[in-house]
Amino acid sequence: MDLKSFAFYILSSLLLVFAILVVSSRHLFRSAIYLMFALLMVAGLYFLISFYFLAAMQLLIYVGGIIVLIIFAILLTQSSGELLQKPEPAQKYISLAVSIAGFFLISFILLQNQSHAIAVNTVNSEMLTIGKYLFEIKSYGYVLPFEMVGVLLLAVLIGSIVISLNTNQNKI
Amino acid sequence: MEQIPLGHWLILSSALFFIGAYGFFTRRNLITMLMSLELMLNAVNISFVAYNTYLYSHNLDGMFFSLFIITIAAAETAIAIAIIINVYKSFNSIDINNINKLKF
Repeated sequence: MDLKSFAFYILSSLLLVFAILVVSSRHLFRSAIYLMFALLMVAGLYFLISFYFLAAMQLLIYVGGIIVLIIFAILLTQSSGELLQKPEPAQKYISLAVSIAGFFLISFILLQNQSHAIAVNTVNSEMLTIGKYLFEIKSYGYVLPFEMVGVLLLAVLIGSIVISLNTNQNKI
Repeated sequence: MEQIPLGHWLILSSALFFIGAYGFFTRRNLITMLMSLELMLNAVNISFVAYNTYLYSHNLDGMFFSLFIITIAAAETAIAIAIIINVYKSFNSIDINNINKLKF
């Protein structure tokens, strides 16, 4: 077992442990911190298969942006030290059964159609190539989704301001 | 790199997805449901990136899909948190069992 596959198994087991802690912890703030660690592990996996730009974006947007937003929302809406309520037993067992059944179904299908594909040549994910594909207007180009995402981000900027501005204070 | 089979990446991705789905089913708090949603989006990103590396390594399509998913997830989180704070202003709680004004 070489170093890379060792790192893969360490990172993925830590990722699964942190993900389970995210969905099972009863302290909301701790849950957000576990989510931050899980996203860091995902960034490590991207580094491992040499998608450096994607890993940097994961660190910048998820760990630097979304986690901070979630922590601000927790600080604005929760009173400190308050535990989350436990799920009802029936609901808990039904959703556990559904999730485990779904996981085994997917794993069964994967093991049935196991592909022996190996990464023949490593992906050329340097910045120049990414920029070339991102602004390419012919085949394999992504300039149209890029522009659409720009419009979407503008709409989100305006929309979140409009939603959080409360013009008329009618309490329900 | 060559020693990790593709199946292990996909099993990791599906396990992460179903952990997120379990959280989405059981949690009754809007912020924790949002966090479970982020876990599911990350699981999808991992499977896109793994397929790109193993089956399609001369192009970068899976990486671009993951990049756009990350962008749209950020947008979705910003809107969702604006909505959550508005809900908190109206109901003084973000538990979805209390938000039943539209229920028939």
